[in-house]
Amino acid sequence: MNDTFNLPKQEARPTYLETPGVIEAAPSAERHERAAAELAGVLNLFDDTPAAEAVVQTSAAEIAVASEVIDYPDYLHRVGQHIIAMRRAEFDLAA
Amino acid sequence: MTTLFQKTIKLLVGDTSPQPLDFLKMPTNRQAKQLTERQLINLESEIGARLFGEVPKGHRREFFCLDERTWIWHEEWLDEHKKLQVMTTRYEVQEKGVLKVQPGPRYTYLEGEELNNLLMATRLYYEQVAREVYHRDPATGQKI
Repeated sequence: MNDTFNLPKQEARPTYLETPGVIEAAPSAERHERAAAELAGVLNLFDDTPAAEAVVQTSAAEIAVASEVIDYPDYLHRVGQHIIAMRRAEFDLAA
Repeated sequence: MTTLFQKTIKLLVGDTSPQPLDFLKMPTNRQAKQLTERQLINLESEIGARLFGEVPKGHRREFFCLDERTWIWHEEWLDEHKKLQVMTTRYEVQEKGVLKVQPGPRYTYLEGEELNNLLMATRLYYEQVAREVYHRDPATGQKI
């Protein structure tokens, strides 16, 4: 069996990775500021939402920020956090 | 006397007075949880498995997020001797990188194209699972 993620080129369906230089390029200060502003805006929007919902929505915003700033362990961690938050919210909404 | 008679009757025929049966009613303000966490992971894994194209005939594949820092790839297939082969790979997200753990044990940090592919796969997984399993907009986290 081949290494798991050494995929044939034709199977790649990138969205994130198609963006030129998204991994390698250093983030500009402008991008950092924009991402931080977007996150701050989202956080302020959800003051009245239930706790689980707020976690999910905040995490989604953080993922967007993390994908902007290239720190891939942080990005993967945030994706994981968001998925777990969605699972938990599913229970909270059913209860 | 009446009390003694009532007690005697109660002992002989049982208590026939109406009893509140509220404890038998299902609570109306709480729906049963429809899916367990394991079932949700299975649904996610079905999406995860198809991110990499068609699963070869005779193979069973799973790819899912186990917890905040762990991703699992599991594949089973029959070899040419009809013997079941199993490969489970665990990807641990650490601060310094992604550690790939395979049977052996073999430990390697992902790099290059393989790392890019994992990033792409998790991104697609996240987007599709958010929409198809949890019915949420992946950009905002809000219910669709």
